[in-house]
Amino acid sequence: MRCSTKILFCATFLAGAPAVAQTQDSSAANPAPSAPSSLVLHFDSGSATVRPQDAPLLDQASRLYRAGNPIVMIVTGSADTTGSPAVNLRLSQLRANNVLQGLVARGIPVGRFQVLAKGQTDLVVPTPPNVAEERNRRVEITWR
Amino acid sequence: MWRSRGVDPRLQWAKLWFGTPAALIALLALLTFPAARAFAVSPDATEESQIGDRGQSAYAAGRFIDALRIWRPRAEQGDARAAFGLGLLYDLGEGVGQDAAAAFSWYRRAAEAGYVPAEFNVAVMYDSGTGAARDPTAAALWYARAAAHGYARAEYNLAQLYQAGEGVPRNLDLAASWYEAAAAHGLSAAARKIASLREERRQAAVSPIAAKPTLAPAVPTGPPVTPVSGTGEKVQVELSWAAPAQPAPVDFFVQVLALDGAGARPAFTGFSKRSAVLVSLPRATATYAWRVYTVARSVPDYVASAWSYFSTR
Repeated sequence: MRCSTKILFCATFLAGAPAVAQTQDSSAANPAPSAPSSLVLHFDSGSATVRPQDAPLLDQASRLYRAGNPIVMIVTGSADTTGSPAVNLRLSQLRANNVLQGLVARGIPVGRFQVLAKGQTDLVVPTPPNVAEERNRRVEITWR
Repeated sequence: MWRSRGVDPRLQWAKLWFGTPAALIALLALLTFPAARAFAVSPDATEESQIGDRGQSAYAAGRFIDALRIWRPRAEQGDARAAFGLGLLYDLGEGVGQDAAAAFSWYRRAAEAGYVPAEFNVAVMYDSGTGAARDPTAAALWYARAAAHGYARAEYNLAQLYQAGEGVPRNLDLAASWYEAAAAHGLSAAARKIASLREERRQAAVSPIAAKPTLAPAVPTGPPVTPVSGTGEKVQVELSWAAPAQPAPVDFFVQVLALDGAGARPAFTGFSKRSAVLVSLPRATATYAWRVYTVARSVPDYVASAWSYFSTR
């Protein structure tokens, strides 16, 4: 697929629609796609590779994405505070890009993505510098 | 953006296995019914009606109220593409209040009229329990109908259902066939799935095999009971079936007979490795009977499904 860092920040047309409302049935016994409002993948320290055990999350995302809906799928990469902020920005970008590639490989149109790299800013778990925190090494997929 | 993936399903039919029992049966069928002919199968490329384009232009320009005004009356008159557009507006909450159930209902109308992206959306909504109660069996049926057109994402998702045994019997061979189709239609993730399935299939294959394997018949799942209609001279009918795992590698052989006062005459025959095919039939009011033979590739054995029926108009 032709997608590289060029499509980073390729925010497509923006509609002021709220996050997709989800109706959920009660078949919780089945782990297959319910309809969460976001999906989160975590990464090994210093790595931008999607862990094999997280591949099902990408399949789940592809099973939630209908033709035409959502309008925008937002892929946001983050890093923890180990290392320099510049390296972490790059790392978060690579993580988001790899998740994007995984979704595109599942047929989701590349034009529908907004890719964000947060580096070590806006952390889910705020930490001082040089703290390895797995929950901050993440890519979150949301949609609207 | 609304077009289904432009892949020619004829490719699916091009693979005949000469020299195998499967080919023998095909030959037998053709000899028994000399008039049998496989109608050309054409991709679903005529959906871009001019009617829908004005609505589409308004939608693309973000004029959702205009799109709503254009699409709603058309949808109510039965225009499949407009019904899909209206479903999309409800789905996204653009120009109307967001309403997943209404979106599902309009997608479903478009899907029943054979609009492929709508078939896919209906499947996804059944699959995820959005706008309708979660129903993997219904999801599998609608994925199969879209997959019959070569819609790659439907092929990929249907493969996942067969791999997991959700809504259909667990069948790794069929999962692999559908992943192959999706990979051939450009989904690189499907190629990786095939590689990982290989080991799973190898392990499944070491289970003891009965001295004389017994094939299990396929179960026809589509099309629905409502008559299939079309535009132009042909009606495209998506035939789908569910199939359990088999003790030996199999192919499927589809036989369609046209029923009239004089009896039955052959309308279509063909092989598939997958669990859905697209058949073009003359646009006319007619009733058809069809069934699927599960045919072992390496041993002289086959089993037929029960007959199933549909009509066209």
